Amino acid sequence: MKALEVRKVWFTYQSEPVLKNINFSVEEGELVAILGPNGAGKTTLLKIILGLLKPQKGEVRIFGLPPEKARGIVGYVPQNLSPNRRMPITAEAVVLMGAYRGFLKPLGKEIRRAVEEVLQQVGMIAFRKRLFGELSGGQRQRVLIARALVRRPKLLILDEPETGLDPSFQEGFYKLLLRVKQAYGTTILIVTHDVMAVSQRVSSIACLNRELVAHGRPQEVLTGENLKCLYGEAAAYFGHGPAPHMVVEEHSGGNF
Amino acid sequence: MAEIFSLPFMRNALLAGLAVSVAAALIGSFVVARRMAFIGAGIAHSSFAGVVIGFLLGINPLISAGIFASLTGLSIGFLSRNYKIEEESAVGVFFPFSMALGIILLGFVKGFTPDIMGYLFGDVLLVGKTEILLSFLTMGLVIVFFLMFFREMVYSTFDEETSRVLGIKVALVYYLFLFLSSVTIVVSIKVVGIILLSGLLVIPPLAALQFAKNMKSYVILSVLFGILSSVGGLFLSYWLNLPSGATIISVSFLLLLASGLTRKLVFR
Repeated sequence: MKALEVRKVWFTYQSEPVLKNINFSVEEGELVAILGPNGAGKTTLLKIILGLLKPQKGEVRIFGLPPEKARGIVGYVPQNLSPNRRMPITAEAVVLMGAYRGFLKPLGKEIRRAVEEVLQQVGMIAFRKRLFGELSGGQRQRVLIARALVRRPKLLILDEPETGLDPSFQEGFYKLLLRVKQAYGTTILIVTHDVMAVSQRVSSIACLNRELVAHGRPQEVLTGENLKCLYGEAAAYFGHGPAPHMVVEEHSGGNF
Repeated sequence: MAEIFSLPFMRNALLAGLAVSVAAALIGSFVVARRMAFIGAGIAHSSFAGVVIGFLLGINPLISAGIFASLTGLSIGFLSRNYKIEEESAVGVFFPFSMALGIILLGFVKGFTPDIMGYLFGDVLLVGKTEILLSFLTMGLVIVFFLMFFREMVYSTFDEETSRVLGIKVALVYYLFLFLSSVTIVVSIKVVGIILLSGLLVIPPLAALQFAKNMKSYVILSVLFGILSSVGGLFLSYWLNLPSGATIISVSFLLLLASGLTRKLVFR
């Protein structure tokens, strides 16, 4: 079954086209990255998928449902969350937020158990009573991932999740995503501009630069030509050896 | 002590002070958490024009102030949500404009208006049965709002975007909050006054933040500090013959100072 279908989506902001005829789909259980430079329209596409923005043309379906009807099956980890650091909300309460079911709908005991389980999964159970604002950047990100996982989403969407993660946790973070995918069959969509972080870990990549440049398996998509289309003439990608890498010949932009 | 309760104006002031301090602390805890302290001051000051309109029309100034402050609060919210205008900037527009309008209209009020100082700085002698009734009604409304929307308020304050993804009616909760903030501010005017009112909203929650372990303890402590400030301030103002509004705010400031010091010396 198709977990996500983006059909001929157009989005214009103040007569400037941000997304042009975006058309792709994601199979259930896939781990997919949407890759593109800053200003490529990644976050706009994500907001359309989440139902926060309406496209001028085209439509999105999540397991066959329009985004606003699929809220119960989508987990979301936002980019650069900057709440009031003095707000006294505990890590546990943040995770509980992910289990919100609706106005005046109570939370059962099974939700409390699920909160403990996901906090355990992300290695934050010992910090559950700590205030969110007092945690480190990496710890906060783990709590936000736990929040997105608490209601066992069928589709997990992460916007630039590596932002704020300490390098020591980055490997563990991708292992965690793979464990979630294997354990629950969760479809995972990562929006990122970090080619290296995702190239060996995802099953497919959608390259976006206001239009869909390419979509397919990493080795098919990450070609020099596509990367030039994304990051400019100076970018080159080498797929040899155990770890592929990308170089920029001349520093021409602000992306690297 | 018993002497205070035998005086009708002090009984009225204590009752109204108790009710408005509970409502203001509940509202204020989220005013502080949402980093919108300036909005409280803005709405309070904008009610000045409403008070003067009440004098001009010969109606209860609290009614016209309530309408004016609610419209101002909702307009600030509308501008900040729908246009690229920060909440603080919108307040920067409405705050001086409503004060200017109030000052201009004051020139058209016939006769002497001694009450105006009471509205600006608070005067317990102005608190009557209507004000007590309005205060308790507002406190009830605010409590019911938080009983119903506490989770939605916490979540939309913490992370508005994810709240929308979760299906929370973020805009509805925000506008209801702004409306109740405006009403709370207006009914508190006679106890602490327009000029000092933002202190009643902001200072007790800031004191509570020094000890809060989670959102529930934060809100409960804010209410306790609010009650201590208003009741303690009213007692002190009676015993020392000081202006009531100024004494309430001074007591709340001392509580904040003591809370900060206690946290530093005892809990760290």
